[in-house]
Amino acid sequence: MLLDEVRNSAYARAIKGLVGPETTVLDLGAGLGLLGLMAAKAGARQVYLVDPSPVLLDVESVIEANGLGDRVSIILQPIEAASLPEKVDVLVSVMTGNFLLQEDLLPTLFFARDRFLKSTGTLVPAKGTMVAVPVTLARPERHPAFRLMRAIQGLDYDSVRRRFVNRVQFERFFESDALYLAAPEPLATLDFSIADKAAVDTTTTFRATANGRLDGLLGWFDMDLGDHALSTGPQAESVHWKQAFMPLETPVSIRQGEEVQFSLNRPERGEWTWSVSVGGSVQRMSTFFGYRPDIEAFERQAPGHVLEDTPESVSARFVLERIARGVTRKEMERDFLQWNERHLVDHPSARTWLHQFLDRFSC
Amino acid sequence: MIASAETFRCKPDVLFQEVSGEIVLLDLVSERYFGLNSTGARVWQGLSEGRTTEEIISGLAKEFDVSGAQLDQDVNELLEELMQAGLIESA
Repeated sequence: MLLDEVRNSAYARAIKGLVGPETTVLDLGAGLGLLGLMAAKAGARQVYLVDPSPVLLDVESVIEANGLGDRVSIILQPIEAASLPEKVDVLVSVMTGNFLLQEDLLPTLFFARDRFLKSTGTLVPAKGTMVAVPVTLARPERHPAFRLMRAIQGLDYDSVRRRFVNRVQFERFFESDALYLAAPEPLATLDFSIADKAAVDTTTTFRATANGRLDGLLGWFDMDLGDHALSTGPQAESVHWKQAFMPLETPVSIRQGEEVQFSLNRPERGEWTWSVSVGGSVQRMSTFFGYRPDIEAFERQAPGHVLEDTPESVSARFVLERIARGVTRKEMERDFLQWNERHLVDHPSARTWLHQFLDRFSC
Repeated sequence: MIASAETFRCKPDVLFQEVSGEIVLLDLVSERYFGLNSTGARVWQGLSEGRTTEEIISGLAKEFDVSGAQLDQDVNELLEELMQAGLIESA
């Protein structure tokens, strides 16, 4: 993303318009710190770069090389665990996934906003709008949902086609990849300053502007950066975000002027479900049908399920008890491997497991 | 207690798929998943095909060696649970 010049320029313009000599800025999920450093360079009084990934430590040399050490602080922690000495005027981030909601990063943005942004503060970006358009794919055979309508090497795979029909395909689409059958329409807008759920449940009606085969809907999002916008659609300058193709189970022919009703439901961290209604016939697809559910996993998640130990939880208890007692790493390894020999036979993986566990749960 | 003559239908916002004879349900309204064992799956399939409660019970009676009263009770209990969970509604 560091090299996404289109995105970087759009953010730079927004940041320059917001930052003054008294401005404080939080760069959430900073990564290599570009957005926060742009704010520092634009003259912000103080910038906090927050990210749990050690990649953030590499930014120290960048800060030094650019002479920004007096105004940039690095906080190597998840935002939920971070503490800042003050609330900030500007919260800048790239918590928007493909088609806005993929990756489920927005709840983290909402958390950071509520905890660290002044009531008069500004978010960059300010809003995200999901957009979609009914399309004919230029090469439908590239999508397994349609390719599997025909045999592969003489073998009939149509019975598993359903899995692919019910998946959202996140891929880079260019204008030539999909013929629009109507004008793109906004589906929903999330105002990041007030939203508390990264979810969508909406119905939109398109009017066909051409005759054609409706293969599915192509979706993306547009970002509101204050006085200008950045689109992640196929018609816009190429950015690192991908578009979302939501196929129909069975493509249908539509005529110019005909209405296409499209409903999209996606709860936070939940399944994508979309339905398309044309001329009284409705098709409903859902990522719920895109995989084979693990019944045992569902049973384990039931509220009434009685929890049982696993070999790993027994090992964890053994180790945690000794940490509380105060043993050295060497003593721990000796005790653990002796104990483990009586329970498991896989010695090398037991040692690896122990040290990973100790790195995480001891200091 | 639900009367056998009553008829129910699966709510339109409940998605389901069969996995190894059992059924996994997803309620799009409550955003919750549910599981039905093989017998519950037969009841759900019957509901999704538009069968009446009586038809579902008589279909199960042909397959399982259980008294009619017991079957009535089991199916009715399941239907009540499905109602309470908001997964079915009166037809």
